[in-house]
Amino acid sequence: MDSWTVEDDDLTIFDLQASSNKDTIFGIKVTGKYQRTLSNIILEDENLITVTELYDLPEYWYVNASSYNAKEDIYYALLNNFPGLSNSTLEQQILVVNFTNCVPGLSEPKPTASLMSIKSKLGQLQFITWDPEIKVLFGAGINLQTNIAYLVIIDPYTGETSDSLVNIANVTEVGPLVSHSNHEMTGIPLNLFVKKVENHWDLHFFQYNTNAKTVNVNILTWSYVGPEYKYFVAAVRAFDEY
Amino acid sequence: MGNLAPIVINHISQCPASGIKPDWCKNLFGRISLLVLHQIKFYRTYTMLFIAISLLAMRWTAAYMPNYLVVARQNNTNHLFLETIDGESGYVKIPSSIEPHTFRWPYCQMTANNDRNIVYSLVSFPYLPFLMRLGKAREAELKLVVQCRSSQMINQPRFTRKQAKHIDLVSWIAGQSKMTI
Repeated sequence: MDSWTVEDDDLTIFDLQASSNKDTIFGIKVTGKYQRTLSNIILEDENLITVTELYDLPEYWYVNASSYNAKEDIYYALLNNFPGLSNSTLEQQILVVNFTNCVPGLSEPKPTASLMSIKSKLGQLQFITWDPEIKVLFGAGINLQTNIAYLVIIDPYTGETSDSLVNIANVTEVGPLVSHSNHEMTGIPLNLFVKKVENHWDLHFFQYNTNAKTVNVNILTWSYVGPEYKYFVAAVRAFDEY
Repeated sequence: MGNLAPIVINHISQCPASGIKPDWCKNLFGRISLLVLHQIKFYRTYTMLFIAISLLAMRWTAAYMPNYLVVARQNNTNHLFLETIDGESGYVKIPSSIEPHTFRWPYCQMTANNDRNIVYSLVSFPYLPFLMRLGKAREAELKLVVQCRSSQMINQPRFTRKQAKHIDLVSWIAGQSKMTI
């Protein structure tokens, strides 16, 4: 295994999304205490990461979760307001940034972007995932008063969210949400991690029926229990051609 | 064929059960016709059975196509483990796949370039972000995993590290920085 160190004390990046079309990475660079900038990130060689700033997020907003439409090079970011400030809010926004015309390593042309307030009926969303086949943005969140996790569809261009497609009871935290539309047969497979109690996580396997626009609930659920399972912090679908 | 179906059912059910056999049933032509119609019904049954089995097989095949999640989990000692989970069986394919490279207090976020079979994992914790690149899955070894899944994994939810070698950590990039969130 090769390994190397980058000599850049100021480099802080988050929420990376790989672009297959452009063979590059887009993600967030921290450009100020309350400023985030969507950037192109290139792993040049063993000692160099090049970051090209492309789009400034509104100040005091950060990316809570992101997903990527790899077919059309569109970045979806779920924005939260920085907490702890006098005017902090629990509102969320959905940022859609199209990198189609961008060239890796160049700051021009700029991407096109739209930003909408999320009109959620259920509360804050925690994770989002874009399904490229049916072109749907799914979101997952939790109502902390009822401990019910939910799954919704987000219209990224209006900020509207659907009614809950799935309710999962007795959940204390929501984990990563991933869609897998590589083999649609009876529906779009979705995976969602939820935490039940300390050291107990469940992985749910749903199918979203594209015709009925409903989810077949709890098709399969697997539990991961014990001190090895404090958190599932991230998940991504991989290696779909096999 | 579709138009014959109700006729077949009517003839076969009416002829023997009526007690009074109609003329067409008494002659040879009628008997041959009945035999042919019976054969059609016989083969239709098998055809329907074949179609049903085919549909089940297609459904089974779809359900058992590989559907991998590369996940990052944290344990009670705040170490991070990157693993592969089968998204439809829930089995952990590569427990502690990068066990020698565990990290305390991690932030982790991942993205996949599936055209190039690369998973990038951004791992950071106070004052130390890492960008790791999980490398290409080799076809032969990945096939082995699929094979293991169907034949061996029912009562063997965990693989040994020796078995879990179908994904390589080919490189990682480390940098030092201060987190501002």
